[in-house]
Amino acid sequence: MTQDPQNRPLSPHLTIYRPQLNSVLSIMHRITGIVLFFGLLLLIFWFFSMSVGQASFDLFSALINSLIGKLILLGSLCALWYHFFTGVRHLFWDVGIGFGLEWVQRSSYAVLIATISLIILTLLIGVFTV
Amino acid sequence: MIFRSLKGLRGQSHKGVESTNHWIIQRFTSILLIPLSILFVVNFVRVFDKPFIEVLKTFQHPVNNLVALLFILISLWHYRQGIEVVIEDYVHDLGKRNLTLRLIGIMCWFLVIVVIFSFVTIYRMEI
Ligand code: HEM
Ligand code: HEM
Repeated sequence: MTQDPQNRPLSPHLTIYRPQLNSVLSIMHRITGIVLFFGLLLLIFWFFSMSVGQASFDLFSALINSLIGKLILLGSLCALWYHFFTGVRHLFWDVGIGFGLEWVQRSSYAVLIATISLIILTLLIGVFTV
Repeated sequence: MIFRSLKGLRGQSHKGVESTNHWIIQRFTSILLIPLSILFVVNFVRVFDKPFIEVLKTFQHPVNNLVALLFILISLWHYRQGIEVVIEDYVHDLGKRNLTLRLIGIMCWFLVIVVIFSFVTIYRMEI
């Protein structure tokens, strides 16, 4: 960068930029990655409470099985599978597969469909296990 | 190299090799997380609302115990790598950036200790 650092071109102009499917998916990958940390933290607490003993586990279990607890778990699940599929797509890009506007557009839809399918599948597994 | 922040990314002493290693290890943890997340989530959604004894028995099984442990540890490692890139993109002040990176490093290491302690205790618990 030999340019004057005060005077570089400003791009994109976020305030007038029309959001597109691909750019939204891109930034969502980043956001889900950041948010997933809190799901991970919850998981760590869960296992920690289990290691302390039944009393603390029961308390924590009641917390994550409350309505709010379940909503947080559901949110983490959605974020995980979304990040999973966009992550896999990133890995394909990294080895040079799937570039080109048409392919990117198609794989964006594929990512969304795959994410929704896997969320439903995991919920079914959870519900139908006795 | 494992789970260590890359000094070259921390200051002005950029070294291409270290950045490349960071990139390669980020792909490595991503690939590991593909099978681990599927295996772990399938286990988790089946037991998360069950009573203590049942959950304990599930995670005392050596395979389940190892899958859960690896999923959490590798997620932590992967998160640390990912969040480093995010912070490098948004925190431009080098002093603040280094401080944030260091705090996140300490937090991750603390969590690693908690996780290993928990899993060993769970594995050895008598019912
Ligand atoms: C998490 C998602 C995103 C990441 C990780 C990301 C990352 C990057 C990176 C690393 C560059 C190259 C910068 C450079 O070469 O100096 C770039 C350029 C660019 N990004 Fe993003 N970006 C993301 C989302 C977005 C979104 C949502 C938009 C639009 C609203 C956007 C628009 C652009 C544009 C237009 C450029 C080209 C800028 C230029 O050539 O001057 N990006 N992005
Ligand atoms: C389930 C399997 C997962 C896969 C396959 C995966 C894959 C990926 C990939 C390929 C990247 C790099 C994207 C890029 O180059 O911009 C990435 C970034 C990231 N991941 Fe994951 N990931 C997974 C799980 C997780 C989890 C559980 C967390 C959080 C605890 C997480 C947090 C992040 C963060 C913070 C980033 C940085 C985002 C960015 O730079 O825009 N990931 N992931």
